[in-house]
Amino acid sequence: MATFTVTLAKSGARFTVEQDETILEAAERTGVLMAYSCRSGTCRSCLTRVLSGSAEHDPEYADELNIDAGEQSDNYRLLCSAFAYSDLELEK
Amino acid sequence: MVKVLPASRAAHAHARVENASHYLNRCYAVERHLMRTLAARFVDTSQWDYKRQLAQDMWEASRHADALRTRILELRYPRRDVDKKHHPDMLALVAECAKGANAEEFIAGVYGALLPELLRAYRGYIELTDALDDAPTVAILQHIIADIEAQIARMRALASQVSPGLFDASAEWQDYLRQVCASFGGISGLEPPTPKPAEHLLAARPAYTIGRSVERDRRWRPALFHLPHENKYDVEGRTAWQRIESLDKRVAMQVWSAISHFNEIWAAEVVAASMWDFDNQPWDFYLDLARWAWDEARHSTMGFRALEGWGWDVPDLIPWGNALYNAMGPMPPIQRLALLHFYEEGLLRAGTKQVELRILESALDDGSAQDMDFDWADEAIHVSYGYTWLRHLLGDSNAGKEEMTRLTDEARETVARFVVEHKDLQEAKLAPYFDRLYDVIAAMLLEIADDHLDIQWAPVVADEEVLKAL
Repeated sequence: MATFTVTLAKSGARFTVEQDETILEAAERTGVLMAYSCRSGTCRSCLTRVLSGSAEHDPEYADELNIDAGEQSDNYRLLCSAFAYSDLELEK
Repeated sequence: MVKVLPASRAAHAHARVENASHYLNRCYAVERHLMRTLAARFVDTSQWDYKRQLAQDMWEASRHADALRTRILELRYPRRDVDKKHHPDMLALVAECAKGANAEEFIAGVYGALLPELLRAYRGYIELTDALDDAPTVAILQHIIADIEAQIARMRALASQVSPGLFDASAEWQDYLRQVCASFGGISGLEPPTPKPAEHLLAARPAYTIGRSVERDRRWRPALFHLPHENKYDVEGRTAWQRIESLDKRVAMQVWSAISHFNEIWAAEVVAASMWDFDNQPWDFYLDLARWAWDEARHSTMGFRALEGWGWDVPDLIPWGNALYNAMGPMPPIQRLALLHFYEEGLLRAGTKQVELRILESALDDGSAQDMDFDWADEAIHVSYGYTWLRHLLGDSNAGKEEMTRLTDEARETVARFVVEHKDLQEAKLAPYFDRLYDVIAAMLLEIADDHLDIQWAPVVADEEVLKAL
């Protein structure tokens, strides 16, 4: 199973994310504190810009997320509902 | 001649789908507009016990209306008619109830006349319908009847404590409303209509309008703000608060969170006022805002419960501000909603609630931690409501986003100016509260094992930038 590294640009924190866990779940598992609330992609607490790498929302729930097309094309993702597909650097 | 079997059983002539949907649609109109009226009168009511009861009953009315609407649509009633053509007689009936001259008269009219009439209509429906064929409706109405019976009992018990004799003193008003109801053939519409009470002394009052400023319960001294981050010019208030902070960050968080929750009533008021101000929105708009307003009123009650739980004289020790609602009063309704959403989204994105919860857990204060935990879950829902409905109101486009930013920026500046204009008033001073509170807190402190919690916390001061610019 692929494992990727997530780096937070502002805090410098790093953690690993497994292929089958959301980025928020990985942060929690490794003890990295991140703002979140609903865990369902509706409250936007975890909205974060991906500075490099590939992260995509869970396609099964893509229509239920509170994020618009413009934000997604600007590389914003809801970390509670997004999976990593490469190493990532996040604007956090 | 034709041949048939005899009827297998007798059935009530009225128990057919079309009759059922029309009957229920009259009840739906009453519940829907009662919900909006309760929301508005909740804003206008200052007496704390009445205020929170009105909020709960408003939310219950939204649940009743939602269940009825769903059932009416199942009964082949056109969606467009359910949502757009509310029965004019029922609108007129609720509009008369809204005209109660003050909170007490309004309460007497709703709980002494309108809700008993509604109960009579629901019971009458169950008598007319078939419990097998129409079982889904019967199940819904049995729940609604139980709710309304409880609402009336609660409010009567409350009134006997807060305003003894309230219902007797407003007997004429209740009688007038019953006459209005009878003139429409009752809520069922099946009774012979009586003449309209046009000559009644209480008829022809002007239509109700919602207030643009609020007052707090008279047991509290007038206060504009509740914690020092709201008014950075109150240096004495900030210094007095810092003495409390110096006791321990856990103590400060216990007190801060309770005072903050208690003062969330302004958010309930902003949302409830929006339910009144916005007309002709989709049903889910009102359903969501009813929940939002009720949640904020519950959060306020959580804070009050915690403060009372420490045995404190809450009206004497705790400021209960009205600046946030009143600063927004002159703004267009959409701007008030936009600003509330800006504040709530900002708090969650800053991770404030998570940090506050950790500190309360560190204090081993299970009650306060539990309150914060559920408050946090509610606020996440509210941000979703705000996001959804502001996009609906402003348009899901770049222009809509830009308008949202413009509205929010302008609103933040308006609130900041309000602070500047009121900062020197006696009601803006928090030191008298926190000086007394410090002594009370210091006398009841406990010592627990140090868990070495390494979290620094500071309140989100959303408008620090705007205040600097002024």
